[in-house]
Amino acid sequence: MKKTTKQMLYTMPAVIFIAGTILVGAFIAVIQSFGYFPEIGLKNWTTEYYRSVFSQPLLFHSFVYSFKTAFLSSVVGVGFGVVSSYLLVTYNKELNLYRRFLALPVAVPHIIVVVIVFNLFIRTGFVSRLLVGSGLLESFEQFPSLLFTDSGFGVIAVYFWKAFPYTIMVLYSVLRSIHHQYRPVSMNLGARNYQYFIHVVLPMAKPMILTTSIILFAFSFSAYEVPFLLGATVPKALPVQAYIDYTSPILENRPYAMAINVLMMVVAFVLIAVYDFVSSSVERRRNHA
Amino acid sequence: MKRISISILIVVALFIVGCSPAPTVEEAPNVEMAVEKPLDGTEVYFYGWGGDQRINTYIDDYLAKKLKDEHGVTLVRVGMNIDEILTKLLSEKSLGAEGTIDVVWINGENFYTAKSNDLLHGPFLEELPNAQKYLDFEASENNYDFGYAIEGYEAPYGKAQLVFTSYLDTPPADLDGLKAYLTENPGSFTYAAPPDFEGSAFIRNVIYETVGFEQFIEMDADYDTVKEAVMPAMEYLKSLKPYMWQEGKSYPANREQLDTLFANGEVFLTMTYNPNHVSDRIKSGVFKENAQNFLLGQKTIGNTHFLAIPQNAPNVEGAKALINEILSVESQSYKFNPDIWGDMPVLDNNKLTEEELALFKAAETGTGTLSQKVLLENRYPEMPARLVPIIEQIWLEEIPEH
Repeated sequence: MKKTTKQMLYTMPAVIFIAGTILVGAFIAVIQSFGYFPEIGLKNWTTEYYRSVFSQPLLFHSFVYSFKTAFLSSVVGVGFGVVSSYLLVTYNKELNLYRRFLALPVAVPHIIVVVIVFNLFIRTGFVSRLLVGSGLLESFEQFPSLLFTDSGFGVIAVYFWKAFPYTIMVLYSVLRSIHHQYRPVSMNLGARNYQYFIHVVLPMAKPMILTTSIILFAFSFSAYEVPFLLGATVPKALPVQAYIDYTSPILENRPYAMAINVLMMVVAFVLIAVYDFVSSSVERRRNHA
Repeated sequence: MKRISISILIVVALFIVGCSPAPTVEEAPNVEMAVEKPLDGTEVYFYGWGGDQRINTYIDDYLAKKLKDEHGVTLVRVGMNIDEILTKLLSEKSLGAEGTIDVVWINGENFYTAKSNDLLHGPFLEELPNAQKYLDFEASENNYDFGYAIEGYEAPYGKAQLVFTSYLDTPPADLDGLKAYLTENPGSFTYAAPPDFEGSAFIRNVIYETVGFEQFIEMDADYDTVKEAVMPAMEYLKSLKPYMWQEGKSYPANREQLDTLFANGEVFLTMTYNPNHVSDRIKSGVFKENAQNFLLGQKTIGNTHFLAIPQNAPNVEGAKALINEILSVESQSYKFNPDIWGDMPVLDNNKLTEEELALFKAAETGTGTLSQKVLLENRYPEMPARLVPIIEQIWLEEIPEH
């Protein structure tokens, strides 16, 4: 008890600062989304902005687009990450490969990755030049249009580039401790490698995998710069639409931006609840054991 | 005891002597100093877009030094996007807080927002000696910013004009020529999607070239009115789509991406609001030597960018000194040199002496550029700011693939 009070006291300044900033920001977003923005003379509470945002067919497409890019990039990224961490734990015990190469992308900012993906995948980009140069394609025209399309390829590629090594970073130590404790036992009981992976590693790492996916999904669902720079012209991702409304010189458009922001906040809160549920169920299981 | 009282006497005597006529003697030069250098030792905070290293160098090295030498004022540049500056000014206003910004780089829609929300100090333009000396107060560009009356709340800083760049010896002369070229060379043209600045300007230019610009000057910012007026231009843009990059279904996000597509040969032209951009790109090796600016159509849209002083500026006099300095022949011609910035001057050529004109002529050294004369003679005014977001909205509904 004494220890927790002390801990709380020590973390108080940081908590007050961070929570204060976020809560004030969220509070302003909510009141502006309901039409209260006295600085420019809007003082009447209204749900007009929500109704207008929800009645636009484009918004639904934006939601689907954001959901699709965030979901695919985190699922594929985490999938590759899990398999790779398993392989690293099993076959590369010295960690050299990870430390030297795979940790690098985590440190590279998204905006730089955008430039890399753009230069790799435009029709006259690096990949297409390699294919044409090696004779696999006859001309640049045969290379498919990948960026700025509603397939969301560019956006997914950028988030995948970050999600993949991030998953390894988080899972590596977890898998290593599983490896030390359970692999000899499983092998002793006659499990094959794939059986050990599917029936032992995956169930034990499941909570970690789930929470990592949630973090990645929440980020890519609500960050604007990647879909702004590589996304389709239509539909625009939700955060891009919010950003455009927010930066519009017509200040009366801000409540629309805030309504979209509140919508994204709701999604984020739901994800936090899921995260909390998953991690507390792990806690419960541990306490029972 | 005696000794103490004597010392007190001496101290008192000294004090009386020290107090009497001496201060008045000293005050006189102080007053004179105050008239000459009231700003000495103060700071001026200059907020504006900080994304171009050359512009930053012009401000940090050249302007800051001049201001220091001539007024003893320290210039502090703060790089910040205009939407954030407006948010900051709005928050300061709603909190009644003391100001932090003395000069802000602004124009168009943002000036409209700032002025109509009482965020600006003014009018101040006519108080500046260099404005009186060199500006043409009759010129519409010095009276209207994107169609909105300036009324002395902004001072011109520089001029920009939309230009196109290609490698062709004879690029398409107008919109019909562009379409003819595209039917021969499908897939080789695109423009950045609005709200990108250049992409949005290109769409307005197509509107002007299709339906003329006069009707927009007094037009109401009403969706249906604007839509009816611009539909012929939208029809033209739609008719280009089958021959466009990615069949006109999607568009690059900004000018930089369009430049890359152009440099790779994926599209045949790029466009920019900075007529000297091409020489910079040739110099840095991004574009080939034979890149050449041209005007697509009769004229292209030009605009002026401005400087304003916030309502709550802590150092208004310092702000005026800076703006006055920027309006000098020396600062304007130095800025015009493409190696420095390449920003077009705002001074009235009729008010300049032969020697002063020669300074501007000497600065005009870009490769691949059009002369200032050609640009100024073929220049459309900007569209009223309130219409711009409506046009961008209509474009988004009509043009890209849904």
